[in-house]
Amino acid sequence: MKNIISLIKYEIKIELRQKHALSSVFLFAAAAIFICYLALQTISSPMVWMAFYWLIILFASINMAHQSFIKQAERRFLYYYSILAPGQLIITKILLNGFFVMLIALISLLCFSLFFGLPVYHIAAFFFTVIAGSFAISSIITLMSAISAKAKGNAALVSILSFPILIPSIITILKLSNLASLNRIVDFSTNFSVLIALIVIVFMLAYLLFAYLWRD
Amino acid sequence: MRKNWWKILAVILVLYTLIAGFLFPVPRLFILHETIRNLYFHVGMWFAMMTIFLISLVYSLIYLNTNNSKFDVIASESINVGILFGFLGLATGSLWAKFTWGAWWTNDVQLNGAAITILTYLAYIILRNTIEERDKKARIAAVYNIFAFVMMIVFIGIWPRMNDSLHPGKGGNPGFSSYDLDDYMRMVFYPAVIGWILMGVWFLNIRTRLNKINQKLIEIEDQ
Amino acid sequence: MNRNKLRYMFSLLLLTIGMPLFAQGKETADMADLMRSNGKIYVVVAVVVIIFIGFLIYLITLDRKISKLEKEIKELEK
Repeated sequence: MKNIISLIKYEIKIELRQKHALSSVFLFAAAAIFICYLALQTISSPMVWMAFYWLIILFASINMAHQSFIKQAERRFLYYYSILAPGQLIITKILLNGFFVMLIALISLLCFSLFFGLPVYHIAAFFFTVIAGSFAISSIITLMSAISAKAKGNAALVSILSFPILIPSIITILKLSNLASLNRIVDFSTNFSVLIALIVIVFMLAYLLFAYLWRD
Repeated sequence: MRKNWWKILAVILVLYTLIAGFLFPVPRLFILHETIRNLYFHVGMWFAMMTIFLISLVYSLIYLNTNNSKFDVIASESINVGILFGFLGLATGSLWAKFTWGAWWTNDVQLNGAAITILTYLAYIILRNTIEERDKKARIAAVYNIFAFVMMIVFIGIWPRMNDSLHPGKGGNPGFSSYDLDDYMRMVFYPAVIGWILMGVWFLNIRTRLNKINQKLIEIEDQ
Repeated sequence: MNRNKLRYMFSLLLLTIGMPLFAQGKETADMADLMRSNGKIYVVVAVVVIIFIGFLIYLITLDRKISKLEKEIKELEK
């Protein structure tokens, strides 16, 4: 457990110093938001607002996972593999990616609301949705990019593998977002529990299965 | 004949389903009318698909433990057969929905879950095609298979029950037992499901043997 | 005059209560009783069975071919 935390801290420090992955992904998200603004000028309905926002986060997340897994130096990985059990390794990766996607999501939320406003009434619930949603999306995409990195795959394989499994998470996230934009008292509990359950299932599966994946 | 008794059983059960499915009495319900007989066929496809994917999961697990490639052959061929049953289930369900619910596809949780399952297993096939070396292919595919099966249970079994659905038994509708599995339908439904599963196993058996023959031929040519 | 009016109102009331009952329509669902009564359902069954037997013959032929190939390979391996 201590290994995981120290490794995560180390990785975050490196990333914030060099900003390889973060900057390119953020550039992608910023460009997408700007194109949306140029094309749409305003977004009238909250549902469309949510759709665009989560689409951008989704594609940014795929970009992020691609950068962090496939472009990694082989030598660094062997070092990690020797000090951590493989289950711990994948949990570190997932938490790391989750944290970075959350950063990107929050910053893009800022930019997006700069251009289009924030049609949300239950702000706290919406923040929780953004945080939990970015963890859900990035955990699935990280696991799939681990599989595709082993398969010498390309970014297309990551998208193909993750897309079916992402659908329920995205449906739940969109439901939560649309509920948060309503101007009345809403019950978030069922959808939130579904989202958390999905995250937990992916974590557990990744922890149990990664050892077999990484055998050589 | 001793080895093939289950094939004969499969044929008898499916023939029985075909004949009794049309001739035996069924409950008289509005909206569904006679199409309730579709239960024996449409639901049979899904049960067959899930059983064959379960077989695939078991063989994937055995492969991960033993690294013997013949188990991997069975695992991969059973996913091919299961996908066939899945497509047939989707097609029969879509046709049934058009004439009872009014649309080919609805934004229903059970339908989305079924479609996602098929997509997940299609991604399995794509994953297998991407990797070249046989051992690596088998190992990575086996890991993904375990993941895909757990996801299937979540998407078909658990997620629909938590949301509203048009299907009976999920999301607030009364379950199957309340309006159609009366005794007459039970008499045809259970043998039908077993019959379709056994037919699926027969398809699997043929595909596995064909795969082995192809491999042996390649080996003989290399010599 | 009042009594007649009362009776008239009462019967009108009964009629209005009785109206929704007409919306019930049929009592049981339509089924394919016509097909069953003139024996044509057996045609449907026969068609389906013939299709299935066709598939079955294909399957059995395929199965026999594979058994033959397996035997040949066994001979070659010896």
